[in-house]
Amino acid sequence: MRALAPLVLAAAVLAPGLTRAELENEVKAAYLYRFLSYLEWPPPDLDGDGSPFVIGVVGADDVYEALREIVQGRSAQGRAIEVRRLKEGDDTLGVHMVFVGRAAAGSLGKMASRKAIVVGEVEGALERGAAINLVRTADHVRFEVAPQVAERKGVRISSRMLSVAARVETGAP
Amino acid sequence: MRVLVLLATMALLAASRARDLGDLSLEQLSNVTVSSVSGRSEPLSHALGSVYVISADDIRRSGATSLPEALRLAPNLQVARTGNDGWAITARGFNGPFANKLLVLQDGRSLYTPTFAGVFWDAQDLPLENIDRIEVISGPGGVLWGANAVNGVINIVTKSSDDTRDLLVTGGIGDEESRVVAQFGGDVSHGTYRAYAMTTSLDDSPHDRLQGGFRTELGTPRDRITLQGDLYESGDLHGGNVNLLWTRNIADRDTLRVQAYYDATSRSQQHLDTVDLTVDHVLGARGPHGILWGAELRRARDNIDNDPATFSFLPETKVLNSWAAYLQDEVAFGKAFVGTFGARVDSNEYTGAEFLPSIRFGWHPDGEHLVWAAASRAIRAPARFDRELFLPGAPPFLLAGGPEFQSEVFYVYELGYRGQPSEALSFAVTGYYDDLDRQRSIAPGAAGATVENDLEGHQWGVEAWGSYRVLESWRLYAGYDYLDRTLRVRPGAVDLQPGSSIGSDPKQWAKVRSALDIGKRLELDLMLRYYDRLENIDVPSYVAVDGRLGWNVLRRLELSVYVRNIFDDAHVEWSPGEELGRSYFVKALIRF
Repeated sequence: MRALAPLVLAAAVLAPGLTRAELENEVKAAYLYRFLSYLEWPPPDLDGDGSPFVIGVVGADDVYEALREIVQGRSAQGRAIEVRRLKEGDDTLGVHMVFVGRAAAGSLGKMASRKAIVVGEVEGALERGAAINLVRTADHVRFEVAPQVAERKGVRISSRMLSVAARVETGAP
Repeated sequence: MRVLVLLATMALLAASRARDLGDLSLEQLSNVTVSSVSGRSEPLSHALGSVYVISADDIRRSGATSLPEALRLAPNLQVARTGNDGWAITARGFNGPFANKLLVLQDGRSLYTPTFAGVFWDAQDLPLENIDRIEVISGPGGVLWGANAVNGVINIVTKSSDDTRDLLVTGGIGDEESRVVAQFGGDVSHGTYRAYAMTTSLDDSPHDRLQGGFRTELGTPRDRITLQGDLYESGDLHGGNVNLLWTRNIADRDTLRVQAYYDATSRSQQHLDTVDLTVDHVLGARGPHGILWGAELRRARDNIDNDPATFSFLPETKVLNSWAAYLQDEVAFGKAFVGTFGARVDSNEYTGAEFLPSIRFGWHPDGEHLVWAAASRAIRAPARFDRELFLPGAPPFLLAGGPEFQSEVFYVYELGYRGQPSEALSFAVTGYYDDLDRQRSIAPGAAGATVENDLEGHQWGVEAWGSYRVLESWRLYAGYDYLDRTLRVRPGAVDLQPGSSIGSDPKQWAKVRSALDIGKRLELDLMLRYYDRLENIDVPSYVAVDGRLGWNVLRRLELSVYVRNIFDDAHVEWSPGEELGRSYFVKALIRF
């Protein structure tokens, strides 16, 4: 399938003015948006009235900015999406998913004890209570998941998402 | 490779890059290369060509009810409606209902008919809601797509089944047509699927069209299988296809793709079967090089039911074998320069192996501006229409197919600029000059006139388009094209064909579009197009305006009214007598 402009291979390398870090952050933000379609929250965390999803971002301003751009005009499972910039120690009441950036990795453990699904971006984040971790391989951003951590918060991760995950933490000791 | 395309798309719309990433599936995201591929610390980029991308949202907001109508959105395409379901579409001229210098693909499957090297637009349909985007490339794309990608390539990319895991019902009715689509999708083990059914009824057509199809995607980030297919029927017209793509991601750097498809299509007097196998291999970072190579095999069997009174194709049944091999290297020269060198050997049933090289250079002093230049050799290979068509269908012939007809040859030189001077404004300008050689002509002969290659000449043109965000809720788009062609008969030769059989092109055309959000729930879109007159078929110039008002009643329910030709009672786009007037279409769409 040559779904690729001949001309375009040149473009394949990278989009303009895009530094590595920028693209990495944007891909991470896109993941956060995508995950919403593959997670099932129980009522009343997500009630039937079409109230919006709330994603909190702490310690990652670039991801926050990119995510705000991505969710504009978009919805997930028929719900609007709200993005909140949080500070370490902020209340996460009503937040469905919180991204804990590298700069705030110290608060992973504290966040993990709360209701929201925690997404990390540092090595070992799953072991520190995150349900999802975005990991940078040599060239790509992949994700690993700990379905049991999510389940303890009543959230089911779809099998589809598990099949794409780079690693599924089984929780066995 | 779709990811690469998306990245390229992003290159065109740098400001909305992050937004576009939101369209990617989980697999696609996991395949986005976030390193600088060749180890270069600074980014390189840019599609070194004239590419316009029609997005899913553009199509939705346009109100278009058919694929050809959606193509009106591309500023670099000439689109004329020749009748109720007939269309003449091309880029860079030589337009006609049998336009033969444009290649059209849907998910890698050629929609083109080797009988006349063009597209039967009336046979092509799909739920427009399933289109992810349409990439419109004006100019030659021979290295990747081969012969016949002369003036452009239209690449229709449908959505991943990952993105249609819901129930969709949409129906619309108007004074010219009605359409109903029902679709559902969901998860299967290790993948997703969707299945749809649709019916279309055109007022002027005695037959309703019925169509159904499916798509499924399975696998892991390493190996991915996409299988899709469609079946359709509308009176004499019926057909189907099945299309399999296997993608392997090698060591997070290279991609190997194998695609095979089968397509059968029948209409009164014709039956065509096509089998195609393509393999390509993208080698990511190799120092400053990024390499793509591939090969393609195709076998088509075309059967025409000859009619002695009107026309015959001789022989009646023809098997057309073709093969191709191609190689492209993209090389970085320092931080701001990039070159793309590609070549394809393309072999067809009639003229054997043809050589299609292309060289492209780009200079991007910063992320906001790109200047590019390209030189390519393109050909339009002979079709049955050139070699084997006889009029009438029995001797004595007035026109006899040209056994010596060779490929039409084009040397194309392009210079382009693309930039985004501010966050709200982006635009692109391309100039081109085509040296035209061995163009189709009709020469007198002993046993009737015959098809020869006795025309030559040149054409040049300018394509320009841009978009401006006036307000967060209001965006304007504009495009303008100019085209000038000179053809002459080779010294000592004679051409009997009317100019209109080469093509009928306006000297210039322009398109303007306004997309306005009124509050959170209303959308108002207006699309104006102007085409200069078509001199050789006596079609006067015209301005037509289409408009759509959309109301997102609830998150799951959308209602819209679409009006074509708001301000005129009648205008002709192609055939004198085939007048197009005001018409409306009311539509409801529900998703669960």
